[in-house]
Amino acid sequence: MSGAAPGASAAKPLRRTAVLVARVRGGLWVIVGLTAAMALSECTLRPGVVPLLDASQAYTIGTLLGALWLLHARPTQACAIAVGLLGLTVSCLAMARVGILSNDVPVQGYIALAMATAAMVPWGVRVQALAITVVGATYWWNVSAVPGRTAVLTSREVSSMVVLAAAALYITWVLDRHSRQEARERRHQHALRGELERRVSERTHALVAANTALTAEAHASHRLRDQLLVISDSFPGYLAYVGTDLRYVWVNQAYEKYWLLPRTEIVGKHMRELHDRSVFRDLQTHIDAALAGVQCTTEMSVPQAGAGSRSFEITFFPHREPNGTLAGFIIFGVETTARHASEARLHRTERLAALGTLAAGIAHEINNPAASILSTAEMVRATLDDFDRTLLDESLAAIAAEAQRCGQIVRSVLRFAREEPAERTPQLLFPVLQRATELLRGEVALAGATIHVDCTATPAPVAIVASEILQVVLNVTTNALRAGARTVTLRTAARPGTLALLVEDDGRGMTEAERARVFDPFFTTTRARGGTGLGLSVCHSILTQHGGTIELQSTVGVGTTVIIELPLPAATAETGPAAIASTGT
Amino acid sequence: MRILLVEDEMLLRTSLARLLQRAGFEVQAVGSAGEALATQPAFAADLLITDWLLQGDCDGLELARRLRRTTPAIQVIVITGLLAGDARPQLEPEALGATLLEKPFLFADLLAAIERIRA
Repeated sequence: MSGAAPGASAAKPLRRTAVLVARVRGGLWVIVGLTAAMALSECTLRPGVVPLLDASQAYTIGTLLGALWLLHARPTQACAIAVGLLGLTVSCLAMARVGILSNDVPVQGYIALAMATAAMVPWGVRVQALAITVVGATYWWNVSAVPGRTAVLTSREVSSMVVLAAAALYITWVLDRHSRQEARERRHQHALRGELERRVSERTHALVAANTALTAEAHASHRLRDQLLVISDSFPGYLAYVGTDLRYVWVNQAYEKYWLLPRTEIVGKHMRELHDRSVFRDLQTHIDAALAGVQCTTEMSVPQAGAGSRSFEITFFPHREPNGTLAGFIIFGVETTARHASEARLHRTERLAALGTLAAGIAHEINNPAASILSTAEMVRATLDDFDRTLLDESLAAIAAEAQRCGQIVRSVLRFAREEPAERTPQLLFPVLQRATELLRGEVALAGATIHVDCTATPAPVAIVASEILQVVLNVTTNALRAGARTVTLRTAARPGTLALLVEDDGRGMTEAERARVFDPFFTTTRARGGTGLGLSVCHSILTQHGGTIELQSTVGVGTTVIIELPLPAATAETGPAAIASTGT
Repeated sequence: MRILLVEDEMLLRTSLARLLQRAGFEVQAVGSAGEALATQPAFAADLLITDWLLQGDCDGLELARRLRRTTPAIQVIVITGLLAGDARPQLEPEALGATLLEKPFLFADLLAAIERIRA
């Protein structure tokens, strides 16, 4: 104990005192019990006094109580007590045999009763001590009570012992207050510990449940993450998440392949570190917009190390937290290099097709005066022999005029095709429609049809490239004629914000399946008659460039209406010529 | 041989008419299909030389068809400024048994066409 802490060594003597006090008290209980037993025995054995219980009754009660107690006691305790009872009974019987105890005296009954009572009460040890005392006192008293023997204790002595024992018990009870308090505290602490343990257990249960839920949630989110990764990795475009510090938070596999770097090396890098300075400068405006919370799309060309360049369409989607603060943005890129190449090819084809339509119109216009010139010149040569000055003069003047007409036609075409600036200028639609009917005169006549132009309703100018819109009108009207139209009406109508041009025909119309494909390049119903299938796709691309639209309504057997819409300039206060209508063949 | 010439281009009409007359043909030159239909019963041409595209609702081919009803034996030469291609239905003049001549043409070409028809 030398190594014990000072606090522990201070507690030791106190504990030792408590044990000592407990032992003394146990001894005092023995004295009290002995005294009480003496009093009981004296009362029952006094001559003339009938004993309270006879031996068989005492045995029965003792056995019943013992059995009851055995039913309630813990097994080991029960065994010990049973063995003790048996031992005591046997020794009492033995003593009675040798004559120490009288058979007449129901000592055994007392013993059994006392032991059983002792076993029934919770403070068993003390009462057992009392019982043993009772047995001992009774024994001494009985010995003394047997005729011819001298009493060991007188009744006065027994009474004194009782008084002394009671006093001593009170004193030890008072002295024991401290240890009782300690015991109470221990019990209190025990209860507290129990409560604490209960709470800890409850809390543990709750934690385990929460943990299970969390694990399941983590599992689900893991799966979701895996699925997202698979989807984004199998996606052929470029996907990245960038924080507000312009560092990559996450990228998909396409990014890895583009930069030839593993994802782990791209994540965390600043956008400036990956992109060329010039490319980053081009992106900067859009990044700023995304950081300001505005979604934007840009088309950009990135020069390649080898040769040429690749083009990408990149969209920036700002990402906001639920509370509204900007967390970063998503970059979504699609390579458009191949698309651009095919668009360029298509554009070339479209231009050739457009050229073909224009050329047909021009050819008719020029071939006629050319035929006149040629024929007149030949006629003059043929008549030179019979010289007619007036005829010669008239013929040469006519040739000159026809040649001038050719020049005008060429110039007017050039004005449309080349000299006119490509940028859109606000102008009236009517001259364009008129020009179209002029160029289409031949075809219209061939088809035996009539064209009506009605611009009365809408004298507002629209921003157009006249040659392109002319091309649209030529294509659409030619289609109408090829569909067997007898009457084609070019009519304008004002709609909110737009000017609509309606090309109505009474041709054979088209089925829904045909109508769905009319804007597809190379879709044609007149391939046998030389249709290229490019007309309407050219129209579509021209109108898209003008910010306009083109759509068709058609009924088989009734006719088709092509609706072309062109955006009106913001303010269209200007008014054009009032009414211009109708021109045939 | 009597030739009915239908051409709305006045200059071409007059010059061709003179050339044909000098070549020994009897020529009646008019500027529209209507005039041609009105002239034919009295004139009774053997050959119709007509522009394909004419003012009004009757083109050269239609005119030829109508004349065939009254004069089934009439020969037809169609002249046109239209380019060969999808703007010009190629088969229609052939179906009529007509000869097609593209503007501008030499008078010699027209004569050759007339000769072929005669033969």
